[in-house]
Amino acid sequence: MAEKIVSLKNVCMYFGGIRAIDDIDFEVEKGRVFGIIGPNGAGKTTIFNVITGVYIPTSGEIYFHDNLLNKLMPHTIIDKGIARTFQNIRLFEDQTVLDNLKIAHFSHTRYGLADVFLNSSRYKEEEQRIEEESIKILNFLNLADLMNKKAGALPYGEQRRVEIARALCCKPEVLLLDEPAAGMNPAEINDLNQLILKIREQFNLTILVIEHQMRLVMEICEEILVLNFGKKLAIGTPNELKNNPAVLEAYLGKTN
Amino acid sequence: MTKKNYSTGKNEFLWQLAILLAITLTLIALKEMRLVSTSFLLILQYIGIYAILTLGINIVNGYLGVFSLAHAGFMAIGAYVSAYLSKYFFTDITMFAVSIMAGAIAALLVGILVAIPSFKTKGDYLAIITLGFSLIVQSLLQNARFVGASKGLNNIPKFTNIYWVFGCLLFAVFITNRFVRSKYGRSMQAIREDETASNLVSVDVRKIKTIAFALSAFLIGISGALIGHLLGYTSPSAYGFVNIVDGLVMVYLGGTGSIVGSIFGSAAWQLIVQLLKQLDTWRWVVGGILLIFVMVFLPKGVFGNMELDDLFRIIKEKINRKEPGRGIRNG
Amino acid sequence: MNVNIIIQQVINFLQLGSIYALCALSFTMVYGVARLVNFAHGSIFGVSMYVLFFASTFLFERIKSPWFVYVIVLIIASVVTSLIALLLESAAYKPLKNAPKIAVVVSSVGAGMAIQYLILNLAGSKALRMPALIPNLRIELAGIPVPLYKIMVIVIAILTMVILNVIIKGTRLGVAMRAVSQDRIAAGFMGIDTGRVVSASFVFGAVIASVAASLYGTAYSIFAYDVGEGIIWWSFIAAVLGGIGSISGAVLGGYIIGAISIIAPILLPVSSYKDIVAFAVLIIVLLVKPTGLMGKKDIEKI
Repeated sequence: MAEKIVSLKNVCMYFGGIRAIDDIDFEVEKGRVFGIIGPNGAGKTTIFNVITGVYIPTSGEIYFHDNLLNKLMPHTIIDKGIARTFQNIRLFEDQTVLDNLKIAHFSHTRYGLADVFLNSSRYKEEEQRIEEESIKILNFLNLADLMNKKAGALPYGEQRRVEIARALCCKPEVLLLDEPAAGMNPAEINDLNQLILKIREQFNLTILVIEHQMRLVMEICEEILVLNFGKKLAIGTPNELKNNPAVLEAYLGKTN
Repeated sequence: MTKKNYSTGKNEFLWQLAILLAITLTLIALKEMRLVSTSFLLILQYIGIYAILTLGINIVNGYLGVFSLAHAGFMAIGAYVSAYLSKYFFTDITMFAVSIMAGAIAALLVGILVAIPSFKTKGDYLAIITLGFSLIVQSLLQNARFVGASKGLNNIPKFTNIYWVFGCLLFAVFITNRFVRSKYGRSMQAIREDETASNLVSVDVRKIKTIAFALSAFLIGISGALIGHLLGYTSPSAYGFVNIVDGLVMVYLGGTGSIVGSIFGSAAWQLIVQLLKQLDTWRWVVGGILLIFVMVFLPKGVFGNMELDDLFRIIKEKINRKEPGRGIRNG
Repeated sequence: MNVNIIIQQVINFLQLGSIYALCALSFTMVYGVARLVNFAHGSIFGVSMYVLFFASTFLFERIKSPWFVYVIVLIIASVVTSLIALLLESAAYKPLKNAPKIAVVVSSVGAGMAIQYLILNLAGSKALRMPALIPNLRIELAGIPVPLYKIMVIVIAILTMVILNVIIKGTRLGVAMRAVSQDRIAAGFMGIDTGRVVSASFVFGAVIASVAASLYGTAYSIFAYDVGEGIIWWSFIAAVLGGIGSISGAVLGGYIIGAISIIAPILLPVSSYKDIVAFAVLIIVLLVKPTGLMGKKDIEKI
């Protein structure tokens, strides 16, 4: 058996009477590209939100390796090795692309206030290191030309890639991508597929991806979780799901 | 900030240091050679002290983007603690630095407590909590007999002079400048733009807020210590709502998120106040209307999120008109 | 304590609480619809006091019927303050529609300061005594003498709240106001003239503040140029305590602050500690429930 890196056990998230996710149960193997699909309002983003600590689940347990994440603050969870992007891009629009990436180095920048005020050599080294690492990641994603531009001034597609670059600066083991292909045409989706596989390879990542675009999901996901009204409808490989009547009826049947 | 990156901010820092040093030397010349009147010297000291206050407010209200009204409380703490010490314990001017530090550190410690409500509460609610803090401090002082209740402390040794003021200002500028360029400063500005997203890219939001409030209170405490030892007295009435507004005006006039803006805001407002003094009570009417005008025509203040080099670059671009649109906010 | 004093204190509490509740309502109306903490609102209250003072002093020399005078001066004060509120809106707030939110707040601080000191310069710093707007008769309540004006203050305040409630729940304008306060952009798409609705909220705020001023003048009579500062601060705090933007929250908050103001001085050695108690209550409430007692919890969408 391969190592489980993220596991959710009977996780529920209720907002008042609304059951955003209800009794969700799944495990993700290390190194996989794991897809989460389902109609709007099925609770996909809520799963990302409970994993990253934005919401504290009403009940159930969330594990990263063997660590229980349930009541940790988001930054602690990110620091442990999970990073994410957002459905509605949330870059720091007034900051440059480079600064956006540097901000994401926060938890593993090793200097304190004294280093700042004394301008110590550790301060200078660390600042240089995070700058170099940021630029390396920008180069990897072909964004280096944009590093001095304000993030808010970039076109949509580039903002999506900057967000991925920023998430990579958190040095994650697991990367959560929330609808990375939204608004893209088929050619762009192909590029994105290649990019996702490439960063998995390069950064040794496990990737969870929420997507509506079947093209992306079916081509690169090795395992897929199908949600409907906050409940788990099915889980399996793309091929298994293609033949699953419940999934076909609830979701794929209507989309294709 | 539109800098290329932070490690090249050094040049600019030296620049600012040089400018301030030049100013200070000029001031020394002014004082020792009696080139200007004592009343003008006094105005310069007000400008310096209020510039420290404005820098302190700017850290929380500008860089961190939290609308706090706690500064009157911090200033009162700085003023009372330091004045009490130099009145009863450190009566010699050689110990003035100790008094100032004690006042500033007292304010810092309280600042850490005031940061706690900002973890969960936002916007107008936080504004009212911090206002509550300021008014509670004022009210406690009004009832505290050992510091003179509503009459306040009198006969505080007048240790403050132009050297102390500008020495402290230099120190405040230095600290603020280093701080805002570090990961702490970057994180503050990230929180200002999107707190949740900051938290989700590993920024410890609570820690940053606590540090920001602490540093802000520390600087404001210094300004309080200086003003008490300049006037020779301090009373609760100097830390009420009018004084809260005074501080805000300087921050938002000069520009949020800017060191140069803080100094400019203080200088401009103190000069305006001096000029309007002849108007007696009408000055508040004129001042209020002026405030509306500034906000309508310069909603981000004169130096909103800009330092001197940004301004020079923009002017250069305006002259060349080769690279249009790299303005400050909308890129 | 004997029953007499307790009843007197309960009436004092209801009187003060009603005035705070009304002021908090006027504050919350503007906030809920225009999304603006209007720091100039205290000065509008102050203007109201002075208009009421001068108009009633003038009229009482000529007209005998006190109730008639009361209605007339209230209308005059409402009109004057509404005009000032509209002037402020168009000169100090509307031009800042696209500016950072804080710019509008600072602008309103400036406006408040300008108006308050304009009053000082025009009317002087001397404290004035408001003529008795409501005739001061004594009635007996279960054998205990109670001044009629106190009862009238409470009745008029509650009546105003009821009328306001009817307007907000039942009229087209009220529905539009609620729509704008929930989602301004969506309300605009539904064909609501949001600009007008916002202006209307300023007028409502001014009129309610005028009613509150008339009651304050009746209840406490002595006032000076800075009268608006204190009363509006406390009603702002009341509004925040109840959950700013919430009508029922403003009323609840008003009565809580009223209760603290009456009870705290009885129990505490120094009467000015009541401010500290009120702020402490506020801070504790906000720490436990960051959007106030009746405020809606907002779940951030990600």
